[in-house]
Amino acid sequence: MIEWLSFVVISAGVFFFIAGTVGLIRFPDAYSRLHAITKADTLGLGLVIFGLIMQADSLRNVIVMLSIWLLMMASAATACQLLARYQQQSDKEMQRDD
Amino acid sequence: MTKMRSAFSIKIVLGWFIIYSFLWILLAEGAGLAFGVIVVITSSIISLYLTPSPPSFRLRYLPHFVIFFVMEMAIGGWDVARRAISPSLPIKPNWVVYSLQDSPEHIKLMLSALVGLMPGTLSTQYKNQQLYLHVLDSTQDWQTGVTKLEQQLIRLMGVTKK
Repeated sequence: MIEWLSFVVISAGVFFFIAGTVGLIRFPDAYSRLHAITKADTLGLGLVIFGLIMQADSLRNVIVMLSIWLLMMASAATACQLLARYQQQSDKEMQRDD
Repeated sequence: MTKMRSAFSIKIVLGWFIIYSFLWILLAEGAGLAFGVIVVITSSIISLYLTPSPPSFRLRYLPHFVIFFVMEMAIGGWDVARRAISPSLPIKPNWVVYSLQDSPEHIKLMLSALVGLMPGTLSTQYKNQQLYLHVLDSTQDWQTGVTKLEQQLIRLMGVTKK
């Protein structure tokens, strides 16, 4: 039973990874693409980790996986902001050059 | 270096050191201790240098914050996934400005970073009490979510400056 539940949750996680990538390809500009890749992937990884936790055999593994999610979330939130800021600066420079 | 000196206290140094040591031991399973020590010390020094004011958490508000944040993040992920796979691509990206409350610097910093995981919003920077946001759908109500997150962070990490 728990294996099936875990399988369903991990599949949902994979769905969000795919949706994030589809957004990365389909969205029209860099900022919208950042929305897709940051939010969908963070949720996707969260679900994959949640699914794996259901099958974890030790508390240590649970803590490791949750730490990975937390670190990934922190880096996604920071990197997304920095990339958006960099893009905004280069947009402004391009406008000035025109 | 002034930043480093102002944040320098045994409690804070020890705090960072414990956090990074815990992470290293957890992730490296106790292996590579010599390299670990270098990494932990370097990370602690960088953190001390970068942190303008040491953040403090009110632990009793943490569970509520975590539930709020995970729920919003799930809505945000679903929202963007739905828009990405929908054939009509229902997005209306635009730039908006949010007026920040007069809160400590570390709250603004956290808000600016975490707002990128909330439904439909992405921050580039904040300046003069203004948070510059990119929204995925400008017809959608984005203010409520940002205000809620700001209030949650103020409650969790500090009080509004008088």
